[in-house]
Amino acid sequence: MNYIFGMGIFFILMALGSGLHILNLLKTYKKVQKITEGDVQMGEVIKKISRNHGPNFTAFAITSWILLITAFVHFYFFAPVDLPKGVTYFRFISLMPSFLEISGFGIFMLVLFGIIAALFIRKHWLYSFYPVSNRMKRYIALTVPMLLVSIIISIVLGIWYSSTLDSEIEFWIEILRPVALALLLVSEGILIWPVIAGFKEGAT
Amino acid sequence: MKVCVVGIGGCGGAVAECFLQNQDILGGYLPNKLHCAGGYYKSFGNIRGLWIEAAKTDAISQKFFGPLGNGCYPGYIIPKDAIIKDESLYGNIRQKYGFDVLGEGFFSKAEPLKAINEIFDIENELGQNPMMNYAWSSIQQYTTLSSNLSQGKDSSLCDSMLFVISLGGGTGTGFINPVTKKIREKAQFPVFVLGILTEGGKDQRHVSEDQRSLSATISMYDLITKRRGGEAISGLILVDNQILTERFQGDYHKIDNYIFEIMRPFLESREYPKKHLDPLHLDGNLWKDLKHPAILVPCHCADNNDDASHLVRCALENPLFNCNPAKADRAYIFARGFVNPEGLRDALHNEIKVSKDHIGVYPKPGDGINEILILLRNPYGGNIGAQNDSKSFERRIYDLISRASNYITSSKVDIILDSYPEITRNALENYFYGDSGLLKMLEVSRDRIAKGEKPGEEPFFSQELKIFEENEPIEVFVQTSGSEDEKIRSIVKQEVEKALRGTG
Repeated sequence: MNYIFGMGIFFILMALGSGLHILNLLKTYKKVQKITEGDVQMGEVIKKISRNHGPNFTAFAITSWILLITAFVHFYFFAPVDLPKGVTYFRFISLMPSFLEISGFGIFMLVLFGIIAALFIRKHWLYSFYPVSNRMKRYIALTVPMLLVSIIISIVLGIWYSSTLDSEIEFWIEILRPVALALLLVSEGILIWPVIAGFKEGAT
Repeated sequence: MKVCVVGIGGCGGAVAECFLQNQDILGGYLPNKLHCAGGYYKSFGNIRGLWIEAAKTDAISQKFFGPLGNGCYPGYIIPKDAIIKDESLYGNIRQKYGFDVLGEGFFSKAEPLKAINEIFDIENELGQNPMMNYAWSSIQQYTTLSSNLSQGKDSSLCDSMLFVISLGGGTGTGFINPVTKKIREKAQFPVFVLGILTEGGKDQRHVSEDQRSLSATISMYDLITKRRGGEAISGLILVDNQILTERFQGDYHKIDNYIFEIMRPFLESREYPKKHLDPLHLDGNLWKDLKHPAILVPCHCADNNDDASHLVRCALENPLFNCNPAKADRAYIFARGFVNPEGLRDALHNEIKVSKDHIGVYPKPGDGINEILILLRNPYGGNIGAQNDSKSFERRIYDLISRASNYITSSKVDIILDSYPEITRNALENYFYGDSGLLKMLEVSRDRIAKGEKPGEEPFFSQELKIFEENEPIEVFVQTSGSEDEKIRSIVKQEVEKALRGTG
């Protein structure tokens, strides 16, 4: 499988989500201007129409986004992909071959993104702009274990790849690599789905 | 506008449960006890609320509400718990008036609770009604009238109230008037009542339609005969369960959810910039040109289409209480989504010819779909014999009153129980069958409806009636029945009180 193609899908989905979100904001802003017949600021519109989805969902959603980035980094930085070896950080892997050390690196990544999220994600963040059904909320929560599985697979693949490969491990690598990528991309699709649905149906 | 929802009685609780469902994930999987641990709870529009129930067994047997006294949210209260703490109080009322204030529910009778509340009004020695005090203190904590409110404004508190009751049950019909009275005498606080008129035939408890009609009639009567200011509510929103049971083939769960859906535009607390809905302004608008509370018929439509004319037409085709929308004297449109407010005003004006100045439009953000709730104010009156039209508002109310009158006439032994003491028997006799009693007043009401009188000054119910008038029990208390001196003293006392009230 061409994993560069997978990376392309990841970035295309991310760009699509970002683009549609900006379009949704502008479209909503124009519609609200019509309704209010007045000169309202974009910030005020976002603040006023934002909704609270509840703390459980918000915790899951933020965790999912952090895990999405972490899973991506683990998949393309640790796991063997179709990039030139220098780009895969293969050498870096070989410096810390133990499961514990690689997991430690994963935890470091989580904490890093957690701090970034805590600093930059405000009350009126992505999902507060969109209606999210309870079913969709459950799907988004489900991406947490999906992404954790993807990360664990990437770590295992990274360890195997840095050790001597026998044919049995090669077989499992061929099985597990697409699973890790599929979990990553499906999770990404679920996480940006409210933005796509918002574009289709109207954000607010 | 931020509305608190209070369900009263079995039906009120079931509907309030839909209103207060946790919108967050995992909340539903948590055992009920964890709701009592003070966890954050997210319901639609961030509304808060509770359930007032008379039957403890019903309250305990459900899983959604927990005892408010134990810190649970959403919580329920049993108002009679306040009386249990004072056994002598219960004994006094039971002995003197024959009413069992600790009874398990009121079984589709509105008059026992009405009577009990009036007893507290007249018996100064009993002090304030502890049941209503308990109910009010439980509700108050969620409102801007909260005594714990510090100087700063807390945006999570409600600035208006929606009570949900079944018009035909016992607890809802009995509690609604004293509870709303309690709130309105405290402050000018907008209070709406969503009254669900029970469907025809016998209900689940095998209570006859006539008996439930009497209960509904008494409750509506007391709500809309209150005069502007003071204790009167802001508006009575009427829903006819007959329409809903036909639409949903008697599936009560679907009906309750649908009632929640139609009320969403009203309950939504988010507002567009510069479109703040002040509940006091709405209250004032509802009272324009009226001396008695407005009756409001809801019409709802939800559609992806953002064409105002389409939404208005669709809503008017779906009234939740039969009526001719063109008879409404004012209308209020609560809209969610991206529908042009002026377009809605124009469309409704074109459809029902109500002056544009008499149409209030309140746009709010939605959830990816456009929906509107039109509240038609007093859509009745204006033509003779309208009660003969099966699809008219007049017909439903006329039938209700007729059934109530039938029950009063045919079931005297069930209304005035042999077990009641003389004082209660006399009071009920006078209230139901007296020269200016309920039976006579209902005749007058039917006559007004048949003549097509417009609600303007007076609605179809107009003269306030009490079971226990203030002077009667005083006579009984001092055992001077028939004493002219006492009568004169009582009249003088009333006149002095009136005069004092008049001078503020």
